[in-house]
Amino acid sequence: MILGELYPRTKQLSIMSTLLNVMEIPKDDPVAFTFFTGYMAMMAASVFFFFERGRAEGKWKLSLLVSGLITGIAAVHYYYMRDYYVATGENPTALRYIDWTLTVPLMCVEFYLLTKAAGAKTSLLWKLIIASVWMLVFGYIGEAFNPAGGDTGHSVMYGFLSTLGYIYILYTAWFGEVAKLSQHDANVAKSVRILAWFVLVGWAIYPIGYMCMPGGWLNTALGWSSANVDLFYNIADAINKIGFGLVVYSLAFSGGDSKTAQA
Amino acid sequence: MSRSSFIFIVTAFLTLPLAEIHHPYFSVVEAVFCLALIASFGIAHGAIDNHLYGFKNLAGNLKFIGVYLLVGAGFGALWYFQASIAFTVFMIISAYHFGQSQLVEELKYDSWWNRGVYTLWGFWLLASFLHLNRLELFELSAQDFEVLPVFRWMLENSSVLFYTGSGSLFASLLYSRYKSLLTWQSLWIEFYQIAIILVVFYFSSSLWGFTLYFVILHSGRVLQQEYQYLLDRQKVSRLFDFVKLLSPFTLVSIFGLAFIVAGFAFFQINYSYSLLALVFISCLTVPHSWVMDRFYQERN
Repeated sequence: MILGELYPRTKQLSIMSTLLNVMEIPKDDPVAFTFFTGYMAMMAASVFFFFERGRAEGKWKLSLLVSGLITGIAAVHYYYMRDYYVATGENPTALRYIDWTLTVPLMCVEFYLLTKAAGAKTSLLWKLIIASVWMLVFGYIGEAFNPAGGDTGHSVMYGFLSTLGYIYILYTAWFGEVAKLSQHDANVAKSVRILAWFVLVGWAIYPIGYMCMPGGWLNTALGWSSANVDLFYNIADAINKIGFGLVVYSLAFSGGDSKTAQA
Repeated sequence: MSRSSFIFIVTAFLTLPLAEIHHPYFSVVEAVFCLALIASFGIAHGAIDNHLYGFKNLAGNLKFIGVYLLVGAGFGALWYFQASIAFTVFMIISAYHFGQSQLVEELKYDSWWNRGVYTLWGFWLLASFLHLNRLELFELSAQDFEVLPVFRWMLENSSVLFYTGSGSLFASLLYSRYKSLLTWQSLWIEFYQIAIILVVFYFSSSLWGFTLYFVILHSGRVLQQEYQYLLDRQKVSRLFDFVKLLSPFTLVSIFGLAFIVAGFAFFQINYSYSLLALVFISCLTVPHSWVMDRFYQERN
């Protein structure tokens, strides 16, 4: 009705046709399905974190804002990525890495915010951000500049370099500065440990996706298809981004020690 | 999560793609590298058994070494007369020893239940190794089947052993958690490590898969426990002292093994080297497992 009032008949058909193309999800395409689900889940999570932020104590507001930003940025990118994927059937590599370049450092900010009250310095934040950027830059080179048809040597080399950044973050979360600082408060320690689990298990799903690129190691070893790249990335994003936020949310509303937690 | 678990997981992540390198030179480099690691770390983790046993004087030390060698030699004799029995006993003892080193810090209290879980963990490990590398192991050890029909049987029935072992281990770990013998944290870490071990055994060559487990997760963990124990009792004050303590018997064992292998080659004794290695390793493992069991009991 509204469309009919606003646009002439030809324009209406053009818009409808575009929408139908974009909205058509092939029934046998789990990648497209996860793009749409991922988009909705991220958007819903953002709304949730932004609204709940108002209810949280002052010291948790920034952490919840960051959680909402992470899922919000991801939701916008997923909006574009799902269209790109449905329209072309290709991996939206550039969009994916733009999303990660913004959201992964923000996840590191969460670690910093949680341990700030226990004395975390800005240097910790920078170290984590540098490690995450290192991880993403080499991952991007590995994926975006993969020779046509795929090259296992290329993907393994950049995958190896990228993993070094991941290992640094993993070590910091489990044994390093973040783990040590979180010991000052039982609630924070528990939450940091859960986030460390996300890094250990959830973030480990990304390399599985990476290794599915054309010429990727898992494709060679198991005969998998490169369509799995986005499937694993979408699953990992949903688990990690929303999960990260929910851990922070539960800490904010679990009566975390008000004496020390000043995130 | 212990540091050895962390190093194991990280090394697995970084080295898994090596499984796709099929160059013949790479196999040689891999074999040399793995054997060097097993010989150095593997032997080193048992090289201070006399200190762990807690001897008081030179006579006591000599007596301990004498008994240790005698047990080893006795097991060697069992290999000579009843290879299949020796191999089966070696598998059971190894299973217990591997499981004990893996879970002794996680399972609370010392009990027969815990000992059963240790054995199940080790049984699962060995069954997984055999099952996920069965084709390669069949090829490598075909010449030894005549002496070791039990090994052939294990490989042929590896799937039954693997699924039985996995199911039993899974159930026993869950029951341990139900009985509060294991924390949730330890349970999840254990499941995660089990998953990584399976991935490593599945994708890597049998030699690299075993080396990664044996050197990092087993020997590395035991060395860490030994170092901490000696540090607490002020028998060593820094890592260098610990290495000095390990060195004599490590070097003697490595040179001794090299000497025996060279002797076999020199006298052209027609014997399978893989079987020979298995016999030597078992002769050292049996007394070592006994000392470690005593060490864990006294330490706890």
